[in-house]
This record gives sequence, C-alpha cells and structure tokens, in this order.
Amino acid sequence: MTLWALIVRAQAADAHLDAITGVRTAPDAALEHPVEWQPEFEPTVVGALMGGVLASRGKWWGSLEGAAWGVLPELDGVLFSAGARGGAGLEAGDLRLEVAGRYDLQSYPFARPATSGRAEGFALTSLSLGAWVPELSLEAIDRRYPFEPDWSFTTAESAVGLAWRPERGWARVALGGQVNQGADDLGTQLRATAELGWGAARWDLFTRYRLMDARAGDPDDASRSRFTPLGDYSADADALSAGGFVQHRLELGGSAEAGEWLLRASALGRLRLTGAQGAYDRTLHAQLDLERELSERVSAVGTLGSSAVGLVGGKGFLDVYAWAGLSWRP
Amino acid sequence: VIVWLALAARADPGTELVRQRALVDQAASAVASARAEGHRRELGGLMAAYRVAAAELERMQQLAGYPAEDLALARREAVDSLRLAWAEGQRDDSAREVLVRWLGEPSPRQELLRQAVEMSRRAPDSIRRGILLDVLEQTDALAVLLASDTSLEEASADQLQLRASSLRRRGPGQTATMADEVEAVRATEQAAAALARAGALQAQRQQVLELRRQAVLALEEEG
Repeated sequence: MTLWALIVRAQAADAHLDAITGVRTAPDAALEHPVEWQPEFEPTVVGALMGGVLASRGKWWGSLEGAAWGVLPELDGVLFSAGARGGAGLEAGDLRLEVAGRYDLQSYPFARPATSGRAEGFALTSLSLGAWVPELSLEAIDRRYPFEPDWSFTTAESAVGLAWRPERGWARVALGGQVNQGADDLGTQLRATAELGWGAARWDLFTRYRLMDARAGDPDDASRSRFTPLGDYSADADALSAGGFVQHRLELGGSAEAGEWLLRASALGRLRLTGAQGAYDRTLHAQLDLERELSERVSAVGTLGSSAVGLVGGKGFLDVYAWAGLSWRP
Repeated sequence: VIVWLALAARADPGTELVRQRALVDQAASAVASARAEGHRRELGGLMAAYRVAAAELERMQQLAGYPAEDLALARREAVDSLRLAWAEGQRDDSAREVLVRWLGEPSPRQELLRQAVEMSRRAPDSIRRGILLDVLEQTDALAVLLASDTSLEEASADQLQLRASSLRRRGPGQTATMADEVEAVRATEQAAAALARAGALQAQRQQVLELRRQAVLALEEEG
C-alpha cells in the first residue's frame, strides 16, 4: 500500500493531483538578480504536475505536497519541489494553542544556486472571550541555500494581536517585532497589521494591511536582493531586507462560488520607501484562479496572473503567466 | 403515547390539505436544492411555484376554519416561516425556536412518531384518524426543521471551504503564510465536520418522510 493511500485512508480532508500547461513571459523572475533583469518579452511554455494530500485525526493534522515544473525552451526555471507540514490544536477551556511546522525543498536542477530548503515553525496561543480573541504568536523561518550559503537566512517574529469574531466577518489587529539574521548582517523590524474579513454563503473576502519599519540593518546591495522574488514566499520577501526603510503592504484575497464554478483571486502590493539604488521600490502580484467541476472527482482549472516590479532607479519588470489543466480529487 | 392517543381526537383537516402541505414541502425542497447547487436561473421560477403553493395552503387552512389565536396556529405559522426561510437560503431562529419547543430533540420525537404509527393500527376507528393526522402534522414540522438544519450546515460548510480557498496559494514557489495555512486547515476540517452533520440530518429527514408516507398510506386505506 502506498503512502498516499495510507494517508487518504487516515481521514483525508483534502487531496488533489493537478496537471497543467501554459505560458509565462519571464520565468526567470524567481532566479535572476534584480540588476540583471531586462524588460524583454521571453515567452515560455510551462507544464506542471502538482499533488497534495491533507489528513487529520483528532487534534493532529498533516499534509504532503509535491510539484514538478517544466519550462521550455530555457531550462533555468525547471523546478522540483516537495513539502511536508504538520500541526496540532490543543484546547484547555477557552485557551487554545496551535502549533505547526513545515519543511519545503525547492530544487532548480538547471539553476543550482537557487536550490533551497526552508523550515518554518509556528505557534499561536489564543483566548476566547466571547467574540474577542486576544492572541500571541511566535514564528521562526530558516532557509538554507546549499550552493550559495551567503543567501541563507534565519528570521524570528513575535506578535500580540486582538481579533474580533462576531457571527459573521472578523477583524484583527496585531503588533510585533522581527529579527532577521542574514549571512553578514542583522536586521530588525517593527510591524503593525490590520485585517478585515467578511463572508457569505457564496463568497469570502479579506484584506490585510501591514506596515513595516525596518529600523536596523545594512543597505540592500542588490547583488542578491534580500527581497525574495515575487510569488516566492511573500513572508521571506518581507522578512529579509536591508534596514532603513518603511514598507506598506496590502493584500487582498477572496473566493466566490457560482454553480459549478469556483473563483479565487489574490493580490499583493508593496510600496517600499527606500533610497538604495537597485532595491525594490514597488511590487504588485495578482492572480486569478478558476475551477469548474467536470465530474465528482475531476475539475478543469485555469490561472491568470502577473508579477510586476519597479526598482529604485527606474528599472522595471513584468511577468505574466497563464495556464490551464485538470485537477483530480481522489 | 397513551396520553397522545387520548388527546388525538381532533378536527380533520381533510385529505386535500394534507396533500397541499406535501406539495408546499416539495416546492420548498426544489428551491433549496437549486439554491444549494447554484442553479440561479431556475430560482425565480421555482420560488414563484413555491409561493403559489404556499398561498394556496394558507387559503385552504383558513377555509378549514383553524382558530386564529392558538398554539396550533403559532406552530403552523412557524412551520411556514421556517420552510420559507429554508427555500430562500436564510435562517429564521424565532420560527426554529417555536418548533424546537414543540418537538424537542428530533430523534426521540421521531421514535415517538414511529410508535404512534404502529399503535394507530390497533387503535379504535374513532381515534385512529386523529392520531394519523397528528403524526402527519408533526412529521411535516420535523421534516422542515431537519431540512432547515441540513441547509444551514451545508451553508456553513460552503462558507468554510470558501474561506480555506481564499487563504490558499498555488503556483511556482508560492505558499501561504503559516498562520493562513493553519487557519485553512482548520476551516477545511470544520467544513468536513459540517458536511458530515448535514448528511446525518438529511438521512434522519428521509426517515421522517418515510414515516409520513406510512401515515398517508394508512389514511388512504382508511378512506
């Protein structure tokens, strides 16, 4: 019996296997240094096979994910990824503790320096006082680039928050601090977050604003930006950065259902106030996913997205992508 | 049950009224199903059909000479209100509360109704019809209550699944934050639990409808 079958039998809550193909205008966006980026059109064919399974039993949950991304004609964007996640939710009266961890391996066989392993731990304690829920969270990330150790980093963040969760909708504010340890430098940030969410039977929408004040740290030299490329772990992008800037970050996310159709939309914009040449000035990432049920187990899926970047000094970058395929749920 | 047998002799609402209640229930069920499956184009026509059937039921109940201010009327209005809320995909907590106070927990009430149908076969002719009509009225109400609860559980599951969907990210090298991922996992689990509860409620409703069918058959055999 395969591991897959074992997990599915252990009360799988969700599982999928997707096969997609499409085009992307600049697949090297996640690999090249900002100073090397050229605003040229590089149409590329992409294909991917992605799978994942989520299972839970009692207070425990776990999931496995894997993906293979093929890119032609340039092979640098070929990516194999695998990840494992797990966690538990513990309750004592109105007190709740969520602990979770995950490890992701990304292998770029034709662009080895970009290969990395990423571990993350997370804990959230919350106290339910009716609709009001005070929270305390701790999070730590360690990302290692075995072929480029100088790119590796470790970051830790703690935050206190207060959520308001009436019968419908929710709101949350949080204040926190973060410490980032790069190869040669240490940076710190103060962070303030405000979130709003609302949902009904057929749609769900949330927005999240985050203000970051990076008080300490060395200027970004842009040779390997600590601002991780777009779409590639936004938390890393915000964590790893040089000091001496203020960043506004706005995120939108939502889903809607209409008959056999499911729509998911997300957008993430950043405005960084910094004077360092070659550093990120503003970024925008937007993605629209459509899913249509073809049968009980098979759905057609489609994605349209773009990532746009503007650097201090005027250079820019745009990556547009679209793909479609089939998703199978066992 | 014995007390019930003693109290069962009551005004006969007539076979037509019984059939009309079943028609209204079917119409509400059709609207709720279309709404749950997202067939918005069909909703207008189905809702219009439901309103016609509900209006006819109200007219027939008035012609039957039901008292205007009594507990039975309040219960019937609660059934109608909850059925309408179910068809419209809404909730009506006050109507639900009336039915819960009347019927109590669904499972014991269902067992009581099953015993009543059984005992009606051995009951004297003079009260058999009264028992069966009472069973019909209570199964109608119980079926609406269970349908409404099923619909609310399904709506809750839909909402939780959409919430999880909003938080997830898929793409090359993309992932949600750990906090979002944990919330998505919990929402997925809660949605699965809500769907399981909806399935159990739906199965119980089918059993109640089967009881109702048995009562209708017994009434028809009696002529």
